[in-house]
Formats: sequence, structure tokens, C-alpha cells
Amino acid sequence: MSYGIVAYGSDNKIAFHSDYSSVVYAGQMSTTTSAVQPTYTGDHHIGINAATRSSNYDMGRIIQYDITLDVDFFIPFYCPNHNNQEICIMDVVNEGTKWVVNLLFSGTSSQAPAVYAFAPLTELPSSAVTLSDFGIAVYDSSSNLVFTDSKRPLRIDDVVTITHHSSIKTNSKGSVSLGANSYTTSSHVNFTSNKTKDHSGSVTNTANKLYSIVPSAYGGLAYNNSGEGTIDCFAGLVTKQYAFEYKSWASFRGCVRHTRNTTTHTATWKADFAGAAYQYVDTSCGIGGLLGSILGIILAVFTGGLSLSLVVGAALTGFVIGEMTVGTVPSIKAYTQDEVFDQNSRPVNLMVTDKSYYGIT
Amino acid sequence: MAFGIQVDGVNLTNSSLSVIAKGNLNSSTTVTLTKNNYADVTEFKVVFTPTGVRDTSDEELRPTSSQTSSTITITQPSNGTPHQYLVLGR
Repeated sequence: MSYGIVAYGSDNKIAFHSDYSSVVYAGQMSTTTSAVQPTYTGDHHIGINAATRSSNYDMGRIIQYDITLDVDFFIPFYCPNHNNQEICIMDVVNEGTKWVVNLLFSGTSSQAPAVYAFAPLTELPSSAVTLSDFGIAVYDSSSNLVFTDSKRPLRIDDVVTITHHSSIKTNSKGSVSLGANSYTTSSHVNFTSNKTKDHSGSVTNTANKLYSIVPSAYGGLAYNNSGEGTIDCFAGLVTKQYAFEYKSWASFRGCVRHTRNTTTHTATWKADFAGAAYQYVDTSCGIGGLLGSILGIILAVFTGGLSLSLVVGAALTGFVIGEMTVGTVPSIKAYTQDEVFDQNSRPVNLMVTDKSYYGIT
Repeated sequence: MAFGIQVDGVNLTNSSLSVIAKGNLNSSTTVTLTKNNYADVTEFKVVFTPTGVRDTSDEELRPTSSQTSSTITITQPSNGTPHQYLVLGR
């Protein structure tokens, strides 16, 4: 540099520099919705109670945060609510002067993690920066504020490359037994993920650590059971036909948990949307041939397009309690087969910092 | 402290990441940065953040970055999903 100022840390790397804007802590994000576990509630659905959402569908909870911050570039960091909490930042959405984060987490509805916003100092509106009467303010050659002691700069303790397992679950899901005269069912298979992947960092996880990562991995698990047959109405002389179709699924997101007092970051899977549907039909004795058209009702749910949109919209009805707008509703999907979308386990960097650097309590 | 800068009673002994370059990636593109153009910076990190609601109905294609001793290359594939990138340095 031919002018200005540069300061170095004890590691001989830049602490601040008048050519470059520091990235600073810009505030804590607020939750704008209740935490929800969306499930399919459309035609022929089977209810999934709270305990089963956890035990069989491995569901986390979706919640939305926002912060009024008129910047073009933004980095969200989260602080887990408790040890081993599994978290996925699902979406980061810019809505003009506001940034929105959709997040999936494990735990109870009152255990949402805290989310903090960081942004380049040069982008913060002047109203968001109050200079002290003393201390340091550094400007670049265009008179942009690039460092001030009143906005503490982002200090990264560790960067860890995270990949997710290429499978969500490899052990048995179990089965739902159905057949003739199975008019209803409340049974569910077990979609609980059994695949995780550990990654070692260089700093110890504590309750004060903040993490930033938007995992690229997502996918789903599905279970299908269908059949048809003949029921004897009278001494083998008169029969009727029956058919059934059972479908269930759990849509998963790649999450990360950070076990305290270790340096381990574990890539895990947690479901963001689940559903189960069942339809049984039979004919009157002596009548046949109608089953295919009747069972078409349940099949339409899974053909995508308009039908699927209606299903997903209904499932998220409870999520629109807060200020969520259509443009920020997370994308969720009903699966008809096991799938993982992750570009062959593409690595994504996890950044680690610490609350104490920013005066966050 | 025996040397250096102290601000508001806090010793400024740690390095911090500053913004070296930033941009949005929507359509297919390659961004190449020459490290020598960024005086005094000895460590570079590229941070990608997907922006907008991510569509889980299909596979998400993310940008990639690579570094040599002299350059940083950021590549957005032809059907890549919208991302912002920050090149941070210290």
C-alpha cells in the first residue's frame, strides 16, 4: 500500500487494512414464525403424532428468522441451543432491506438456535454504525469506512470442510402389514437416519462458538406398499375385489452437529417434511373392475405439478402463522423413492468463530 | 500489552478476515483473481452462500473455487443455482 494503515495480528496476518473492508457483526436475527414440523394433511393422509414425527420420521423443526439489514452481502452464523443440536441453514433470502433465514433444527419448539448476522462494514448504512468519540476509524481511498473499533471484525477460528454421507439410511425401515379388509391403518415405518459423517476441526466446540454453513445435501426416503386381491363373500361362489395403496416419506436436509468439548463436527440428516397416506377400496360382492380408477386418487398426490403443490401448501399452512411470505417459504418435497441430491458428496466449508469476540452474551 | 494496538481496552492481537472481492453468481461464469493485486494479504478464503429459496425438487449445482500460489478461480456451472461469493483475506 502506498498510503493508509495496516495492522497485523500476532500471526503476521492482517487485523485491519485501509484497502479492505472488514466483515463485522451486524446484529442478532429475530424469529418470525413458530417452529413447525410440517406433515402431509391432504387426501387419505394418516396422522403422524408428535412422538412419531420424532421416533419414526426423524423430524426436526423449521423456523424462520429475519433482520432488517440493507446490505447486498450477508453471512449468517448460528449458535446451537444445546450440546449436539443438529442444525441446517436451509435458505438465505434477500428481501430488499431485509435478510431472511430458514433453518431446520433438532430439539423442542422452544430450543431454536440463535442466529447472528455478519456483513461487510462498507455496506452497512451509516445509521447502523455509531462511531465512538475515541478509538479507531479507518477509511479507504473512496472514503468508505472499512474498520472501526465500534464494530468488531469477523475473526475465524477454524474452517472445516464438511461432506455428508451418500446415504441417509441403510438399515431396514420395517414394513406396514396390509391386506384384505385393512380398511384403515395408523402404522408407520421407521425412517430414522443411521448415517453420519465425522469431521475433525482444530478448535474445541463450546457453548460460545458460532458456526456458518449452508449444507448442500438433501434428499428423501420413501416407503410404498400396495396390493390387491379377491375376498370370498359366500362359499367360494361369490367374491369381491379389494385393493390398497400405502405411501409414506420423509424429506431430509443435511445438518451438522458440533459436540461440545471435542473438535468434532458431525454431518447428519434431519427430516423437514413427512407424510403418510393410505387408501383401501373394495367392491360389493360380485362386482369388479372399478379398483384402478378409485386408487387413482392417491396416485395423483405423488405425480408432482399442481397436485403436489397443493399438498405442500397445505402442509405448510401452520407455518404461515408468522410473517412468512410466499417468496420465503422453504421448498419441501414428497418422495416416492429413496434419493440423495448432493453432487457426489460435494464439500462445503464450515466457518467457526466465537461470541466473545463480538461482545455477544 | 508490550507492543501493538489496544482499542477500548482490548489488545488487537488477532488477525481478522476482510473482504477482498465479492459478487453474485447467477449464470455460467468464471472469475479469476490475481493474488498479487491484493497487497499484504497472505491468506484467502472463498465463501459461497446460496441465495433465495433453494429448490429441492432437483439437484442443486453449486459454484466451486480453487487456488494456486498466484490465482483464485471461481467457477459457476452453466446450470448453477444463485449464489453470492465473498473472497475474504487476511
